[in-house]
Amino acid sequence: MEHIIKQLKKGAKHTRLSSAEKAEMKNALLRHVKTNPASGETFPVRAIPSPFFINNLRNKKSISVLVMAGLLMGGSASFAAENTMPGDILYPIKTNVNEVVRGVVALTPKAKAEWEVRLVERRLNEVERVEAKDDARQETKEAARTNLGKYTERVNKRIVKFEEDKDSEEAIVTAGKLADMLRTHERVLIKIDTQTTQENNVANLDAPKQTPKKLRVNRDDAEKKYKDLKQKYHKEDDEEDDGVESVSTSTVEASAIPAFVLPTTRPGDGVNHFEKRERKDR
Amino acid sequence: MKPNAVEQEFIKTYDQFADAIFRHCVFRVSDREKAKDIAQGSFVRLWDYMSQGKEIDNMRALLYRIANNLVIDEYRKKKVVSLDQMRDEEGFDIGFDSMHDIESRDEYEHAQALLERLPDKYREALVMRHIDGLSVKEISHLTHESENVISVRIHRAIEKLKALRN
Repeated sequence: MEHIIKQLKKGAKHTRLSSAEKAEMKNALLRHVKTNPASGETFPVRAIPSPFFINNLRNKKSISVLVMAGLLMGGSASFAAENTMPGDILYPIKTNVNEVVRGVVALTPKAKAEWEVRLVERRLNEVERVEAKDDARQETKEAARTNLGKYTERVNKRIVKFEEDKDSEEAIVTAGKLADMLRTHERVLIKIDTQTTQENNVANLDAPKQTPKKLRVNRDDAEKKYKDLKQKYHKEDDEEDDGVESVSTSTVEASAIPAFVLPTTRPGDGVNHFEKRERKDR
Repeated sequence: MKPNAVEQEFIKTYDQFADAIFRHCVFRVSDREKAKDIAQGSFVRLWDYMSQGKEIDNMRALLYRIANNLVIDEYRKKKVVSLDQMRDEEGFDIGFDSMHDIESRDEYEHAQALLERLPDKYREALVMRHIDGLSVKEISHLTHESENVISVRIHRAIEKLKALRN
């Protein structure tokens, strides 16, 4: 019996895989190993990195490119929007993005009031450009006028707020600036209107157009408001001071209100500073 | 252990035990191709186990246990076909090295034929003990049987072979 066991053992020594079989099996196993890697480097995690994982070089690059593209495109659009008029595609960017962002920088009520007056000036410029354009559509003109009314109303509300906050000085200054602004642009608009009418050979040169007419109403309101405020608060000052000479009142008035908001009351050689500025513009 | 280290360990295990596992399978299923499949399947399962990061105390024992389980699975689906019949009809190769001399080869094939006629539990114990060189304790551990049972099976396997030869 021992012989059989010996035979088996002897045979077992020669029972082995050939080199080719061994290599083939090893290759098959290595393929299995590669497709089923050990935990810690699971295949799906490496193959499909999360798009939300920022600490991934590829994602870092993508985010950088997106941010740069966004800044470039946003900056370009914002810059391009600055010269737009009502009816243009980029006009909403000008009013809803550019101006809002710049308005955020104005923190104090005074700065906000100054910015709002500046916005009225921007709307006035738009109205002038639209009116000067021969091929401007009626809807565009109407939109520009509506915008002007809307922004003028914002300034009026600001003035009311100043009054509520007992800040009479700022109320007067803001009202003066608004009246000044409207007056200046009213003249420009009348001039544009006259030129346009002459070019079109319209007979009735004196007939007032809608835009100057509307602007005149706004200007009248602003000037009335300004005068009312001046009278109201100066009267209060007089009552408070009670006995102070009129000379001192006029000094307060002059210091409280910047010179440029008092064009019509300033004595001179018949040419106020608005006219001077207009000449300068020319 | 790092994934790369696990891979290296697996390759090392393959190089060390590929022939031994193949040999075990050949003596258990008496078919070289099936033995190759079972040996490869054993290493695949070993890798699946290792890749999960599980600790392995005795690599050799685990490998033999996997191979043994696969052989048992093979027995369950195996048709009853004799070694002689397969060799005559299909050119079946029982996995003997061509370097061996013809006389020894005949003797070996005769011993293999006898081995095949043993009940599986005796064959399992005999192959593990005399072909794979495992100790009774190791076989007992692998088969979940007591050492006494394994010793008895080995003894009875030899007795059976003796009876078959006569």
